[in-house]
Amino acid sequence: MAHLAERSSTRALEHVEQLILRMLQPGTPTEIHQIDNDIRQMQRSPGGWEMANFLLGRNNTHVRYFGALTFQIKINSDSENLSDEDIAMIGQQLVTWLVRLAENGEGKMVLQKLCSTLAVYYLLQKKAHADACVRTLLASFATNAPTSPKDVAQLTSDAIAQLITTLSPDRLTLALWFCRNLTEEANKKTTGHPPEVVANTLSRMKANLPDVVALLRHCLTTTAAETDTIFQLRSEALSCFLSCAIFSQPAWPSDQESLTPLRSLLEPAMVWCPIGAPESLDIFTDLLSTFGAFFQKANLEALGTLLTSRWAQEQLTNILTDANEGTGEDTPAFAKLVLAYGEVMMKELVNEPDSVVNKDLMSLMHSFFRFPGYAVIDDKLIVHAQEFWISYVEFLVDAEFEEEIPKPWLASAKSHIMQLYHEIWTKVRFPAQAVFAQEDGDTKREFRQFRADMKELLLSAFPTVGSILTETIIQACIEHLTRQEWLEVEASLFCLNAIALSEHESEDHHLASLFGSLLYVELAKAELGIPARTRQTAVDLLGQYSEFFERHEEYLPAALDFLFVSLSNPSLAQQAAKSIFRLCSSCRKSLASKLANFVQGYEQFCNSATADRTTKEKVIGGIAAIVQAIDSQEEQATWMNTLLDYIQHDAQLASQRFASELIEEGQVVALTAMACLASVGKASEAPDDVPIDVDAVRQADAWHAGPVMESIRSRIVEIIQAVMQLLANSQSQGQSLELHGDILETICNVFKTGFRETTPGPFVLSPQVTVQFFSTVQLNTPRLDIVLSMACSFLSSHSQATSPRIDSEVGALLQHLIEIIRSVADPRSEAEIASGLIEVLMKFMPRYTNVLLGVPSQADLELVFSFPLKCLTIPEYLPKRSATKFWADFLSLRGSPNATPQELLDQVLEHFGPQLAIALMVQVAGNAMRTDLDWFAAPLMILVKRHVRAKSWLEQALTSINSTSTQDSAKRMRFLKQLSVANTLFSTKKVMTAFWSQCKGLEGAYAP
Amino acid sequence: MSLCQNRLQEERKQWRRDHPFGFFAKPVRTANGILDLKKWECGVPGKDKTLWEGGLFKLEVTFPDEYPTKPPKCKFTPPLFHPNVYPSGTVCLSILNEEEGWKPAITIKEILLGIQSLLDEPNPESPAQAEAYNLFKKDRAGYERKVKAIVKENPAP
Repeated sequence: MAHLAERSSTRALEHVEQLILRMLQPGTPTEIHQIDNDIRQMQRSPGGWEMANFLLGRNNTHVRYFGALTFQIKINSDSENLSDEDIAMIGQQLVTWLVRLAENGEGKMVLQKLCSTLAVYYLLQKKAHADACVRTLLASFATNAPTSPKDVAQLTSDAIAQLITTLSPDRLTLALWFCRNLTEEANKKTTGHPPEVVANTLSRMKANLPDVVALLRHCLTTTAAETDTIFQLRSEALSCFLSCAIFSQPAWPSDQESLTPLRSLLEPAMVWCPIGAPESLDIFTDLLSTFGAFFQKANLEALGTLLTSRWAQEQLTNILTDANEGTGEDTPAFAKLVLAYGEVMMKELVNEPDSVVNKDLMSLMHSFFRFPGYAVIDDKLIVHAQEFWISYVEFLVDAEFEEEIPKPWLASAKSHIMQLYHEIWTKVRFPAQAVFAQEDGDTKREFRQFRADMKELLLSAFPTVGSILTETIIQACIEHLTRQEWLEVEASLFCLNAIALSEHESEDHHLASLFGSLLYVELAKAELGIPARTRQTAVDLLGQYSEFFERHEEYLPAALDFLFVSLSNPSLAQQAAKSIFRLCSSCRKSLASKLANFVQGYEQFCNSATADRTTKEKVIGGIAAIVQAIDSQEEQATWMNTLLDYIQHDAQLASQRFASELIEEGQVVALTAMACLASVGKASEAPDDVPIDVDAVRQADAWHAGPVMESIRSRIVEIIQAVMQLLANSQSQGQSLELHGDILETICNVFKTGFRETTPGPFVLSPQVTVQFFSTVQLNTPRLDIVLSMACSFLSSHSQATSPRIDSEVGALLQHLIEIIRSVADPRSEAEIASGLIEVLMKFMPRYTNVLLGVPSQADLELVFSFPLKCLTIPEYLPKRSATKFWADFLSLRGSPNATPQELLDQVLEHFGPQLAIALMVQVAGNAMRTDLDWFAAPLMILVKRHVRAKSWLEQALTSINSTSTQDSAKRMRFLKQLSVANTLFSTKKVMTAFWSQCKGLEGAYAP
Repeated sequence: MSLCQNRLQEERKQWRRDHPFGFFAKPVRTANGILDLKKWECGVPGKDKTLWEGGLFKLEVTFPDEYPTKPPKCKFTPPLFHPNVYPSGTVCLSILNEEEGWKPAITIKEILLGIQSLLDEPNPESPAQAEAYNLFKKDRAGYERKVKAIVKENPAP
């Protein structure tokens, strides 16, 4: 008893009591913290056990609470070192205190703490006679004195049941608290603990289970007069029952021996459902939603009968009255129970729609969607009810489409969905703006989220009900439209948006009746005071249904007129512009007659506050698409000039703003001008799906080379140059522009639209323009990477077999590229740029290899090759990989007598070969990262085959590397031999990887 | 049913029961209504008080047959401008990498929350697309402008 015998002086213990009492008085945080620390220290000291006993014997409840707490702390922290006798003694002390204090009428706080302490104690991984802990406690209560586990071990179940009947409600409550704590404690010990702890815990729980069940049965079936005490006792019994049932799920998932007695309690428990407090309903809700399989068929049937009984009807009436008066809870316990039950019974509800109970239940489910008030704002229940309906629809759709069996229930399910649709329609309606605006941010968000969820639900449900839903939505919409009920129109459009029929051609005739109505004509009328929300949903609808308009272009003009009107509205502008772009691009052929209107609409829109970069580029791009589809080239040119007028106007405006020192604004306008130009350029590309008319192309040549087209091109160039001039001026004044990079990027986009063209359209500009633009960038130019990628596209577009050679322009571009390369002091610190520069160099091959090798100075040529050589050896993977590709490309080049003779290629290779061999071998000999290694296979494989001296360069390179594998001549020769016979990329990789592993001392680790 | 299918059914149930606000996730259906549990359509909203607030970004999540031993592939559709999103739209995130942070216990909810966090906290150590990465590193203001424009293009409902 060494540990328990540590004695503290009475004075010291009284001091602790004083500290506890002081801590309960008001004081400064520092002071309280200090006291708290002192108490903790004493609790943890060897004298803690004695302190716990001392405190439990004092006459202040709070002090006694600390006594119980101290026991718990000591059990948790110090029990490891206790002997079996010590452990037994602590158990006896705890039970003694519990019995004695209960007898003295102790309050709930201390008794509950003692119960939980005792639960912790019985689940210690010690020999603690815990197998009989429940009956020991029951017997101790019966005799008012601690009973030894040995005395109760032999009691029969009848004897226990008899013993329980002698206990007062107070003692029974205590026993229930203990059992609940024991179960919760056991729950903690069965997850994340070593298997022996879990097994030990489960076996203790199983041993005690019959006694717990006996206790619960007595409490749940007591026939004592209905008093508050009995009412309380039953609530406690229900909570305890819930803990046990939840514990049984992971503990004994299919152990009928344990589950059956617990299940047998469901029936008596259910009897109290209609009588008990709302919490008793919550208990069933919890059990249904966490462990539905606990309920057996008979239990579920009984519950179903209860939930459709007269009592249930009364519950519903009460909730409805509360809801009408605004006094009810957010989600009444009854409703939660019905919903949880519904989830468990989903299969039956769907498959057996004709049973009386199921009919009544479904009718309850519908009624939860018909509560008064706006969803979320007034009606919170709907948020829970929607979960049931979402599951219902999912289950239904799964069942409908996945099983090839007759589905007699389908008709009934469809009718539920149609009924649900009407309920949803009512609930997704927005309140009037004035009302909605007053709601707080969270409520507004939740309301929107509710709508979004309903949208998903309707989308899932549509395939089951089909056309009838479309028809119902559209009919209602048209009716509300005639009555000018705009929020109702909104709700209908929202539902139509949800089911997203655009691809379903079968629904077109329904849609035609809506899009052929006055809907968009009316919506475009400002004087009607239509809520912005309705118009917004109408705009969204056009975005969603663009495919329908592509099939039925006759309905497009009214919709587009409405979109143009919507452009000036801040909440509609973005979406309207997007839809205009989409609809105009995809229906370009049919809209020529509307061009004048649209251009006028664009001009008006340009003066409104919503005309910013993103909206303008989309609208003008949409119009340009229509222009692109006009047959007459003259007319096309006229319209193109009109569009360029607007852009030029912006470019001029930008210059004026710069001149007036309004730099911020000037940049934005300049960027807008370039973005619009790029968008017009993109829209002017011929759509992919249009067949090319060979004759037309031939005729077009004369036109495309003619003066009209030339003048358009010059205008485009002028506009670009004007903006570039602004950048150059600012640069020369040492001004750094915030949007410099953005502007350069959009200019690159303009050029790129021309590179993609197959016919020389207005955006196919002279190569000098691109080269001139390129010559303005430096290493420190923002978005240089984008400019470099544009240069790649430029070279690719001029490398087609049919495109005319432009050696001098390409040469000029190379010269400037070399300047940039020269200014890179360290490719490691400019890794992305270095990689971009190498990519551009690669694009010279093969068509402009002559230019690449024909640079005027030896120093330049040296740089062109030494740069990718250096990049092979740095750790940054982007330039490294680009460099491997560069060398693979270079080594694959074949000479041609007219352009680049083979001798020249050989000379260059002979010059750089030895260095290249070193660079490659250093990497392969273990310096490359494993993830980069594969990239070296291609250049290495090609090099070996490319030159007769390659093998000796490689051998020399290996000899110069200081590694055991490279210094071992046998290994070296073996590697080289394997390399020279490896004929595929795959086999080269294999050889290379094995050698690399060898050099790294990882032999075998990566071997294939 | 295979482990993969079982787990996905369970994930679907869990998600329905409890999912974070503003997100969505559901298995797709083919044109004739058949459910494909191994392919989900998901939506990740931008976090409040970040650049991405107000946006909703759509993802396609594809589960391999070996799921949950192997992680799903998450792909923004259309591809998203973000340093850790490949030009194809595929998300580069340690918890989605079999050799790094993937654990079979990771749920769809955790994945989507992880992707949401990634939006505003890009990882410059593993760049996946040059465009967003370069801008993020070299021109933060330009990067932020672009993100704002993308949010505008993809508004949350």
